[in-house]
Amino acid sequence: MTRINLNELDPSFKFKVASSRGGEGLQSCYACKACTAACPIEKTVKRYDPRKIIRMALLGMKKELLESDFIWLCSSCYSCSEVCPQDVRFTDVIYAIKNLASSEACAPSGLSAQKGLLKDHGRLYEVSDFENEKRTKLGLPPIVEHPEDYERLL
Amino acid sequence: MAEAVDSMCEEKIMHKEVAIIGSGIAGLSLAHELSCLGIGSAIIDRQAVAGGQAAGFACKATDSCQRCGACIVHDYVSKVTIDDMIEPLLSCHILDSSRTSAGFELLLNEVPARIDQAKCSGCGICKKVCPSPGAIRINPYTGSFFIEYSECLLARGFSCSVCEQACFDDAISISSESVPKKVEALAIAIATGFEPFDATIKKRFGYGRIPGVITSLDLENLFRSGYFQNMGSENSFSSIAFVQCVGSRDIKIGRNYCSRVCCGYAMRSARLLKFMFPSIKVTMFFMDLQTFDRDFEDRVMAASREVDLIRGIPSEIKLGASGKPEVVYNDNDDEVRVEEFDMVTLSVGMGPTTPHIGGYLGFIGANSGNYGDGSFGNPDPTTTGVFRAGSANGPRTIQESIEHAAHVACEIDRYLCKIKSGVDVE
Repeated sequence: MTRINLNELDPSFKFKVASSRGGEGLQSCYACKACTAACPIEKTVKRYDPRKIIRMALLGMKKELLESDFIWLCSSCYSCSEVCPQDVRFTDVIYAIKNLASSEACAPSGLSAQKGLLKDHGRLYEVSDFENEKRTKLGLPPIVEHPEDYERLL
Repeated sequence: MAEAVDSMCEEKIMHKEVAIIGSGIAGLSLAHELSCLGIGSAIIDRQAVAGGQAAGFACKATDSCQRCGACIVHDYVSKVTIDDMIEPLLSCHILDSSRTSAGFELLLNEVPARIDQAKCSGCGICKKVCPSPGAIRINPYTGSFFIEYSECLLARGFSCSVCEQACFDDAISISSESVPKKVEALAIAIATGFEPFDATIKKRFGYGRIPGVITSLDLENLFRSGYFQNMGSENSFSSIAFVQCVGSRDIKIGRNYCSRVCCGYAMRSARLLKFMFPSIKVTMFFMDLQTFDRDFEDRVMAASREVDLIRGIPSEIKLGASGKPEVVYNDNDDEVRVEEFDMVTLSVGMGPTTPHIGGYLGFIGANSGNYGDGSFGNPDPTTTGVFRAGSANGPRTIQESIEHAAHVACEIDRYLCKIKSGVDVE
């Protein structure tokens, strides 16, 4: 069992999450564990436990949450929101937490690399001559990258 | 319509100080308390037998009493039956209601098929000859029979008097038309109790779809019908699960309140089953155990030695390969488990009956209220003289309903003093 140092907690963190978009339901959680029982990620990665994440946010474990790797594991399947009797909408709560982590520059390095790829190529993979040669052999038209479309979406 | 009934039953107008709607434990204890204060009352119920829902509950005593309160209902039924101040108007439907200068007027309709409880010897010939299953039922207190009119062929527009002809005791009277009655009262007490949550609404728990998934009220019926007692020693019944908060504390279905009784009855039922079958595995899934009884902590401690208490509501109940229910849950060690049970009991919550009674109690109007909204039970100018007792006013256990009825009896007494003398007695 890990000890929690109360002096290092941020009591205002829960209000910060609750006031961000998607995080409104955070404080209505009864900790009934239905979300954890429904979560497909929790079945394989024990560290990812929706109920515990909510408790951590409510306790104000800002550093532990925002710097953790597990908050990025959510697959956005909305199973937790489906079973929640209190309408917490955990998937939206985790989005709010992820947004806060990004704004605190705690996002994993892979994420900014993905962002760079999107920015340069308009997609998560660079389309090289190799792919286009293969497509020509198969009689398909070559793909032209339009990174400016992505810029426009932002 | 009121005039027509007036002319028909001029001599049948009943004057009482209080008309109590509902003969459940709240209505019965309210009538008894009022009688102690010297106030006469009429108890109106559409059922043929007094006792309400609590009368259908089973005693949960193991080797010692678990204080479930089911037996108290029997006491109150007998107290009320012998009381001259109380007039039971059973098998009566309320057709219409109005506020008069003197108080209230209720128009009742007594159903045309009745068994005189005093004459019935309990031979059961009527039940044997009755073409409609479920229409003739046995009174759990007296052993006599009564007609559940909603199941009777007469209620469906047929003409039938088979039971009347078969009865040896001449106790059954089937008339061609219903008997109108009129009650005048100074005050009205609504003691219509609660409506159990319809578990089919929570689809992920599979009630009505998966065999072996039952509600707590079904479990009461199994206890009462002797299902467990008659199982014998070579049965295959080895595991049962209780799922709490089904239809309570659920914002998504508009019931964001605790039903207050489910933890208690699930715990008592679990211990009773463990007492009957010491080798079975009893698991209870809960959010948090609500402690309303004064000795509840002790009971939780005692139960935790016999019952697997798991803090976590299952995400779903599936139909297993062997045809039994499979519960998906996250156990106390944070492991997701899929476990098969022989039986899963959903502890269904309590909901208000007021949306239904609003129809015939027109003068209550839009202020019929709901559990959980603050307006319920508060005095309101449009409902002066209308009181709510027991779980018509919010979820209550049997004991709490009795206590609340005593409180309401005092309130009614004060109200009656006020309207009779014009002085507010504090």
